[in-house]
Amino acid sequence: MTSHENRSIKETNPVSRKNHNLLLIVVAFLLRIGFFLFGLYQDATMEVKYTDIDYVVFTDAARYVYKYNRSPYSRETYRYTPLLAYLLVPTAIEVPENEILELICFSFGKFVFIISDLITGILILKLLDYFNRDAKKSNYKNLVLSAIWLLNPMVITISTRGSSESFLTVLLTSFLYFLIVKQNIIVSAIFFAISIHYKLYPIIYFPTVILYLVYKDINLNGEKFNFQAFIVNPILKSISKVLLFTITTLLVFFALGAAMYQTYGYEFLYNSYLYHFIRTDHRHNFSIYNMSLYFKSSLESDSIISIDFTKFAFIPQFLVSAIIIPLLFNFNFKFQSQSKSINKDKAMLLLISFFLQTFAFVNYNKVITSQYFIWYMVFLPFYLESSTLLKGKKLLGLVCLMVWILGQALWLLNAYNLEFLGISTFYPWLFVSSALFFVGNTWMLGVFIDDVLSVYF
Amino acid sequence: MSGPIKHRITVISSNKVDNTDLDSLHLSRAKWVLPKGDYQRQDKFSFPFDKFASLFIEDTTKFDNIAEFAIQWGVFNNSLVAKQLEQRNQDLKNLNNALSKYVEPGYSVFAKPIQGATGDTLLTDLMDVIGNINDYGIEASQFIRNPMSWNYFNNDYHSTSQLPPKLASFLEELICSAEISSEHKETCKADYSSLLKHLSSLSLEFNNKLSSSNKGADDLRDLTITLYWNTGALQNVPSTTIHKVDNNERLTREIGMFEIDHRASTLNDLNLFGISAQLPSKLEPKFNHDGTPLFNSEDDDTLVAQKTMFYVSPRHITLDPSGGHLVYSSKFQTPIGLHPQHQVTIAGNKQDSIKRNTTSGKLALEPPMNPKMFDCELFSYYRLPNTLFLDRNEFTSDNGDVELVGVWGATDLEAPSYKTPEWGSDALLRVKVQPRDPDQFDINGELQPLVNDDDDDDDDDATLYSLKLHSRYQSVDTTPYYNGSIAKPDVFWACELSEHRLDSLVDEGLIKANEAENIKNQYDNDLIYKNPLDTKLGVSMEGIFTDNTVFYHFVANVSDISDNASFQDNFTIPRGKKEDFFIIQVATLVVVVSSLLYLLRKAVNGFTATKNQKKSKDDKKNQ
Repeated sequence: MTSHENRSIKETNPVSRKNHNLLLIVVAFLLRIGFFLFGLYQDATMEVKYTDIDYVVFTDAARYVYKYNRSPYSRETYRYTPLLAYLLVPTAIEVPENEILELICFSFGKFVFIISDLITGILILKLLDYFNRDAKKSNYKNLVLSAIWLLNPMVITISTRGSSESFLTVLLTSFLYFLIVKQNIIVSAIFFAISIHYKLYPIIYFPTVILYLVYKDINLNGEKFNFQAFIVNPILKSISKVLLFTITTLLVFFALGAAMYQTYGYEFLYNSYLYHFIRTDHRHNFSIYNMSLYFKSSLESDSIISIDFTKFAFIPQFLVSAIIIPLLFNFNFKFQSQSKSINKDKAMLLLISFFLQTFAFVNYNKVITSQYFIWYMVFLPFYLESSTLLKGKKLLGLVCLMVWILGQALWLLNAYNLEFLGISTFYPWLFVSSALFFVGNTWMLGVFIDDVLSVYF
Repeated sequence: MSGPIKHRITVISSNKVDNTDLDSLHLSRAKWVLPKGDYQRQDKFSFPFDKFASLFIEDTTKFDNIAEFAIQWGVFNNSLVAKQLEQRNQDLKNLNNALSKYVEPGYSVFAKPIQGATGDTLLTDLMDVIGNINDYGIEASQFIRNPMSWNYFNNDYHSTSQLPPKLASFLEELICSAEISSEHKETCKADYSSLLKHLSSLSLEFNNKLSSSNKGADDLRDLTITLYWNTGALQNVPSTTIHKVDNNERLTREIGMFEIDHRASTLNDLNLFGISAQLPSKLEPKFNHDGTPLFNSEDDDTLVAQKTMFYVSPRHITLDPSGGHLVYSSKFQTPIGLHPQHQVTIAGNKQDSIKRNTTSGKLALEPPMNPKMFDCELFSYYRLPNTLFLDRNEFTSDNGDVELVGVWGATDLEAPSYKTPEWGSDALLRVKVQPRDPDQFDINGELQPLVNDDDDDDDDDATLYSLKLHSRYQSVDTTPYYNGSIAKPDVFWACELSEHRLDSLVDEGLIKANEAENIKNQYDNDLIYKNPLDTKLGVSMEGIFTDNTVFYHFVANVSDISDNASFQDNFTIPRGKKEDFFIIQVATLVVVVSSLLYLLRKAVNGFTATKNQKKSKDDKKNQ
């Protein structure tokens, strides 16, 4: 691209900005269609299937609901809300006389996930635009940042394989869009409640949102600490919004839960929620705790075994993701506004907090699979928007990227040797890979924290 | 009122021309002496309730909740027999179809509760009943439930190849309990002790007929024990003495010695001819025309035997490879990994090319029964230890070479082996082969050469199917690999007379109505489910099929018959090493705590340091 072309993009008017956005979305859509069609080809011709095993689980559950009028939990390993099975009911429609139509029906869920994934991208773009709307900057940067999601092969692969993560990301981005751009607390809380109903972990965002609602218009930097001014007044000022958000969230969450409990009883509670607390997933995954969990569960009756610290793994996880990070970025009075709008800076900090919280939550989780990376990848564009890693510290940014990729590559190599070649790589190889990945991610988290602090505090 | 204990011995001698194995057979009124030799033998005992129950357990009310139970143990399979016979250059014809019951190699327990009793009650009582013969220390939690019964299985018989000791002692005690004189009892015990060491299979079946419709009638609960010695098993066993019976209300005995007349036999009907005798004898002594006894006797007693000939229609037939039938091979594809693929291929004589239908991609196999009259389907039956399992959800599509009829037992998709109490799972698969069009056969079931056989290609890769299994995580141990094995699957045709097809043949004028009726009568009334040598066991896999199903089992092609292990398929699964646990624990703890401290330091720094402080720190670093 020539400097002239570059400048012309940067100086685009709203109309051409819209055109560029549209172009990006069209390309993103076509890419997804391409991946989807390749998936059909791979499924039909190759031994290793493109379609994710989870998609088979969802569609089986939908079939139980639609065809047999049974609980979706009749399908082993279905650990999601029944809403997902309802949503995918069209996949259970059989059209024996028309194979193509039946294939289209079966792929309905993938279309839902692809569309969710695209809407997520569009909302990312809209949120980014919101922050830059007043500035006379081009949307070139926003296009690049949103392309991190929209054109990301990992994201595209996950949704076109039929993994449901994009359905969660569209709920979360909708929640943020209504909270920040539309400033509609009720609709925002509804999306937030649905996302917690769908997967429990977004509950970690709750304290961050509350802090955001309380302090979004307040800048106390330089003032001497005063309980009344720092704590009481902001709370009093925002109490109606806080209560509105909290009550709406609770109402919708419990209403959905009650409706599902009414229909499926304990089966729903166990599979959707309780299972995630009691599970000790011993099958190999990226988590630092995985090997300990496997060994511990196997040697449970062994008297030589000392304290089982994996039972307390939630402590560092919640300490970092739900307490330290929200407080550090949303209750830190050293905040210095980077623009004329405190509100927008605080909103951006909210998004950045979400990114760091999720990154930490996944890093400290007892189970980590590649799909979990999507949980934080959706917030990555917001973090990068003001990050120095794309500006002055590009080398550091590159090192972070390499640490993340190499950490996964090393682990995947050893997991491949174990899973497909039957080589016993549990220790040291797989364990060391997990540990290195964890250490790498923790170091990156430290870098990100420093980075955000250096920009906003 | 209870009847006598019934004991029947059936012997089928091998078809060697110079057969002298039974020359020293001794049959008199006082005793029978069966010499060692190269013949098959079946001993069948029937005990009324009062003659066996208290030997199991003092409190015989423990039987009340049990409708049926069976313990089966087998140490041979027909693949072994086929190979042995082949090596000895002997006639493979009909193998041991006449005498052997269907017993899976390994140790099985089956049980079914009476109507109204729960599985828990059944298994609690059963554990008490078989407590004295529970060699494997089986627990109720290890049982799995399938549509036929609750069952337990293990194929760990390779280490000794002998009947488990508690069970063997119990059988000696039970079998010889009918003998009154202590001398006879001792001889009996000594003989059976030796015989049981060479036993090929056992089926011990308790049946509570009261559980159905005979409540209030005589106690119809009985126990049937079928002992079977395969060809060659008795070659090195001293002769067995069966003593006379003084009281026929207590015990009756019967013996039959037969050969198979192959000229008058078919695969499905075996013509047995020989002699039979009873104790106490119902016959007058018989003599040859020169006045000598019918058989040599060293005793003063006179011989009592009568010539006998009868047909049996075996329910289970082994497809004899020397008769041109296909054999199968099975193995795990390598590398095995955590999702072992179990591959079953078939092979035949060189002149028997194996065809694959180019349209369907399925192997075109000829069923063993005339497809114009019989419905035949090919099945594969697995008894998988809990180390491996198959995922029923992977069989929802119509594609693939197999269709899952059912999988029962330890089917949890996530649990590791060490948290799976059940012994494993049963799986019955229907193998999809390309059925030959019945029109390709003549009325006698002979395959007609086709003018245009383009649809079928000769196939070098005769893979019948490849089955994806999954391994459970294994308990950590001192070595990094778990070595396991599965019994080779039982690959068989199940065939049944199709009345619908017979009617079609009549409609088409290919056979007359009375001929069809004759075929039906012959099939229904014949010996398939009235075969005295092989009664069907409803609680085992047989129970899933109709009573008049005939099973045709393929022989497995094994490399080394001297090694029992070659009758199983071995796999290796990686596992953690126990000794690594400590370092893993410590390292995990150190890494997590350090990471937490590192992030806490960052956070504290973020709350305390001002931008200028941080900036100057950064500047210092840069300098």
